Amino acid sequence: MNRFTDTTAIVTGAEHALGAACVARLAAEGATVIAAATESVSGASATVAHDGTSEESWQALMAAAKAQGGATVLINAETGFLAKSFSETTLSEVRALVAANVAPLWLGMRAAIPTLRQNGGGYIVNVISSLGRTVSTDAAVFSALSGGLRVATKSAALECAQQEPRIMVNAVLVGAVPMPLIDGSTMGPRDIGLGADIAPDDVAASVAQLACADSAYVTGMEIYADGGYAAAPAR
Amino acid sequence: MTGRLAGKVAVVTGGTGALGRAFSRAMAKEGARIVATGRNEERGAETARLINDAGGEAIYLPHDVTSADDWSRIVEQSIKTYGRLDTLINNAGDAVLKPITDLTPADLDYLMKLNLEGPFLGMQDVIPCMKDGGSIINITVLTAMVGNANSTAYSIAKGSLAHLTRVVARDCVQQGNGVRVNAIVPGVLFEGGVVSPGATRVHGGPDGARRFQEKIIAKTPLGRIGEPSDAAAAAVFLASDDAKHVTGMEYIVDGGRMAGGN
Repeated sequence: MNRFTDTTAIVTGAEHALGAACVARLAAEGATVIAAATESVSGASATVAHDGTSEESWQALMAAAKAQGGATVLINAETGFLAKSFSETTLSEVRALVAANVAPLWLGMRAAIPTLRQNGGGYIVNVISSLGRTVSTDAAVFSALSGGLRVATKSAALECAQQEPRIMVNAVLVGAVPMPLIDGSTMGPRDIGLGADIAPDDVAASVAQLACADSAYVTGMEIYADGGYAAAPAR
Repeated sequence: MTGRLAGKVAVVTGGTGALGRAFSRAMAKEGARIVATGRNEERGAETARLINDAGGEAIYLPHDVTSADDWSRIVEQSIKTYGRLDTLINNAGDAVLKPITDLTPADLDYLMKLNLEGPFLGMQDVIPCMKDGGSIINITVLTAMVGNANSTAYSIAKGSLAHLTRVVARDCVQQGNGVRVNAIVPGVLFEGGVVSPGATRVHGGPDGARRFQEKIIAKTPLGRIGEPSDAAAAAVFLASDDAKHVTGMEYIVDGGRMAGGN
């Protein structure tokens, strides 16, 4: 199975488990992968130091991909988790959550859309928490922002569907996977009752499905790689 | 690299129709052995022949999904032939599309039996046979998610199947039997992306088919009719170990029609 032959893909958050698993899966299926990461990543053709909150950094990332054939795939796998209730969360923590989750995904789509169009269209896959659907009091703001990112994914999907060459924009909603923690968080997604542990490799399998021609007629859609949590959260 | 479904055995109901045939062929190409079932013997045998001629393995078995006895026979013969059962695609179904005031109790009964009871009976029979876990895929429809004119009875049946998918997924998680239950929600899919005259919802010959095609394209963000192979790619994924943590979800293959909210 080589669904990514002759494909150049950008994967963000690649120094962490989720992003690294996406790099490995796409590379195993033949992709040339540009890893946006703070350290070199196994399987990547190039690793680029990246600040997901900086437009300049995103432009540099697109330029690095151009040198590797030009990106037609972007995997937004940069995340940051904070296990705090609504009342406990401070404004500075809200801003940190926005910087870790919202800014990279939004700036990434903004930078990638014109680039992918120049390269003949392609696929954007956003990795978002399943808590964006089920609502968590234990990670209240993270949950709220994840809900917003689901809607952002669908908006971008509709926008990109209107113009040729087309870009399909979809999301993988993840359950209890390891995620980097925002300062002040003591618990991760695996510690707050999100159901069975999900291995990053299994998330990457769903990401790959949405990043290739198997999803040519799929946009604004979500695969739930969460062991059934969103369909049946503990009540 | 071996196929993504190597070693697996899949039963596909309605393996006689275009979508069922696409599921069967795509899964066979990835290494699954296929039991294509349905009422039309000629078309079912053709599905099996296409797969066997391409180097895959498939049989056709006659099957009325509303019959519990038929289900017992299908499961028994599948296991007798191929030794195991890993995937069930509940694809057989039908629509009766009329205003609610014109629908008869017989219409409702027919649609509930075929679209809901059939998959229900099938799930009851196959789950205990899925010894290494398994994947059940129920085929629903966009009108199971949102309202559509002339579709009340059909929507009730398919909407119930969508909810049955969620609750059986939860049952299986609770039982820890490793069986995953998902739905595929296809939009309008035709070979070559061209609506064929005489298909369900398509009236008025070639002109009617052209009008239907234009109407659907206008409602579809990606601006085209999809193909059965688009849904088949979703089935291969859901049947494979790539989806081993995916359960209770609706995999929508609709060119973006549901992206605007449902």
